[in-house]
Amino acid sequence: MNMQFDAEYDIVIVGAGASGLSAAVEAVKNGSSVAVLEKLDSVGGRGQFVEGSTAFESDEQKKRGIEVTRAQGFKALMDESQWRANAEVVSAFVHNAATTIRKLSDIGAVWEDVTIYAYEQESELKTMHWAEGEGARIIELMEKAARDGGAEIYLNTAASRLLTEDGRVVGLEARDADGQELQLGAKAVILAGGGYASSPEMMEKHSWYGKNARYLVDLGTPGNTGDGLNMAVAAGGATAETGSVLLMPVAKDKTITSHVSGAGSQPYLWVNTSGRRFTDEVVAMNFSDAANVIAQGDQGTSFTIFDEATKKHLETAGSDIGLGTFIPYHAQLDRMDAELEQDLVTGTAAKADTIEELAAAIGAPPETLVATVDRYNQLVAAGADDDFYKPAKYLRAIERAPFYAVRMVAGTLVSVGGIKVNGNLQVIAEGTTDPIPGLYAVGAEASGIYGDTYPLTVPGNISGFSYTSGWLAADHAASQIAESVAV
Amino acid sequence: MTTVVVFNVAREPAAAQVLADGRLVWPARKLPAGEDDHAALAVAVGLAASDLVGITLGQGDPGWAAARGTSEVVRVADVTVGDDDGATAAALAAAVAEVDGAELVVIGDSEHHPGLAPALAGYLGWPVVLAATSAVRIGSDVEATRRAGRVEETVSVPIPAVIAVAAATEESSPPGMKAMLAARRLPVRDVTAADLGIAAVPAFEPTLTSLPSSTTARLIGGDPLQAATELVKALRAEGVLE
Repeated sequence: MNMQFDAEYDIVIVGAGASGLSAAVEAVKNGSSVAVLEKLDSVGGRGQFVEGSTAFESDEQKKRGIEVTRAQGFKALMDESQWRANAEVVSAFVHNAATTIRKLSDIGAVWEDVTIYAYEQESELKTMHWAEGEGARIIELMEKAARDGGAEIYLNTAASRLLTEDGRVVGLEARDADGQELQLGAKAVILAGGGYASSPEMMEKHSWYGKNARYLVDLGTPGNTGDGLNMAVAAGGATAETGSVLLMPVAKDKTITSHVSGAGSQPYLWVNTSGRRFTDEVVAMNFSDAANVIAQGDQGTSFTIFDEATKKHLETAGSDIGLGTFIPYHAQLDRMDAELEQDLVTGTAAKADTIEELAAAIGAPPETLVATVDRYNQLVAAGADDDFYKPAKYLRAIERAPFYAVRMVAGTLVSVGGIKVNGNLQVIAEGTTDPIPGLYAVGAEASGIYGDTYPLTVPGNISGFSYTSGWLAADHAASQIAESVAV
Repeated sequence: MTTVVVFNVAREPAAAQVLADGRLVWPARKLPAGEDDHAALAVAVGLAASDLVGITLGQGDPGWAAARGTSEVVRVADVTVGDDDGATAAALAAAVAEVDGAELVVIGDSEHHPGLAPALAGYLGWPVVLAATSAVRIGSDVEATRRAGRVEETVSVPIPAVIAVAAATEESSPPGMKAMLAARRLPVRDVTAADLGIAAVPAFEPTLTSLPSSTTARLIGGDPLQAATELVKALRAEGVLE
């Protein structure tokens, strides 16, 4: 079969986010001709919002006297996934993540710190490399490096179908900004579409939140509609661990930098829609786990209850736990009053002089909420949480009116995984252990380093994996292309 | 009777990278299109009575202009854009002289290369209209609209002339990939400095660049209504809002 192509490239990359741009930078450095197709009108995707990047035994760690070995990283990721992760993929990531930091330094990244995410979280590894300007700056640098190297980046251009010939991927179909259909030839296609978090249907189908996925609030860019996963499956690719999603608690209809949302994310009293306490709120320290808890609740909703004394504490002493750079540790949440003016009207928050009135405002049975608060205050007075074993330092009484409730939901940062790949990031053919020649999946499209949830104890891992898997795929594709030319 | 549009001859700061030691690194292969280039090309398409010829330098992308309406591109292949607007203008003027019947040159009025359009006009010996936002051909004149601060002005200039266009917004609908790929097949005429009888543009580069130690910022706090009022007032004072 002789296909007619509008253009032919060595490598076509689907998606210009963190993993796609990393692949593009490496590919042009290898001398490959490269087209990057981005369905949105700008590059970066969710990679613009990442904070830091995981690496092990990096130069940046070494010069700060931080020792986190690759073996520790491997074990942590495998253990966190309960060994559902693909050891081959985890090994490739762990082994090469330090090189990623160096490669990003080479194109201008400046690393301000290497640290952890939640200061009191047990067993967290010091792997988070914070770049000056965070993920947005990395995206900017990668776009420049890719373009300067000769990569052609086409915006508003969506890939729709992979083209195969004799079992190998030879290109793809796409629709451009003018609505024109294109056929592009490629010796390799790298799927870097960033997963399916923008698709409510795919979230409900694939994520393990099931029907509750409809209550999740998408916090990212709108382009992550699972195109890579769908195209890979249509071309005979296998899936694995499709259900893992990175979530973060957020107040309903608020941004993650909101002070009301920040207050709602604190480890105070959390109740469900029935007004009952349901967890050890210290899970708030790990935002991913915390959002998992909230997402499972009735209507994917919980309420954080606190009183005027605690509100004053948040405004003056600051937050007890942080949410990265969005709500730093001990940040004075002094914008609450201004935000509450609107939030009390929209139902994002409630304020009342009695617990009964507060219950009525959030739709919970008053007698249940009163009993919950009474019990909670008993635990506070005793200085020990015999119900869910929360550390005493986070037990704050709910006594001084007015009382507040913040309606919390789970926000989706990104889905993580879907397409089954091997350690070279090649897509595995369904029902086999063999790769589909010419097809790769990277970043959030690729399965391999996660089990059923995102491990925050190895902070920065989705961005670290995105950058690393991108360039690894580009390298492998280049080697395969060189071999085919030699033959 | 040929209209010429000059493109990819402005180095925008956004394309530069300032290294920790103060060195400035510009893209080595292709320069991104200048911020005003798309507006210049749109105006040139409207002004072109017949052929529209693009002119660019060594780092220009002929396909970029071809996809937007040029029928041919002349590229001075061994001359690159530097900081010396006079030297760049000399190369461009020599290239314009190579275009049969060239009578009107449209160029982006780059904020970062303010001397380029006047110098080009000087080399050509033609009048120049700066900061144009639109232009139409009326008989043997071009009537251009330009803005200076809050003042809008309409000027009439006899052809031949140079029209320097300032973009008011980003390009709203760039051509699609298919059009850009097709544009690569349109003719490109590469010439050299020697062909034009000019010296290669001498290097004229900053040796050290220091970024501001901190961004100037003013925080407006307090009562939201008062703060918003103060913010609007400050933006008006800075000319951001009218």
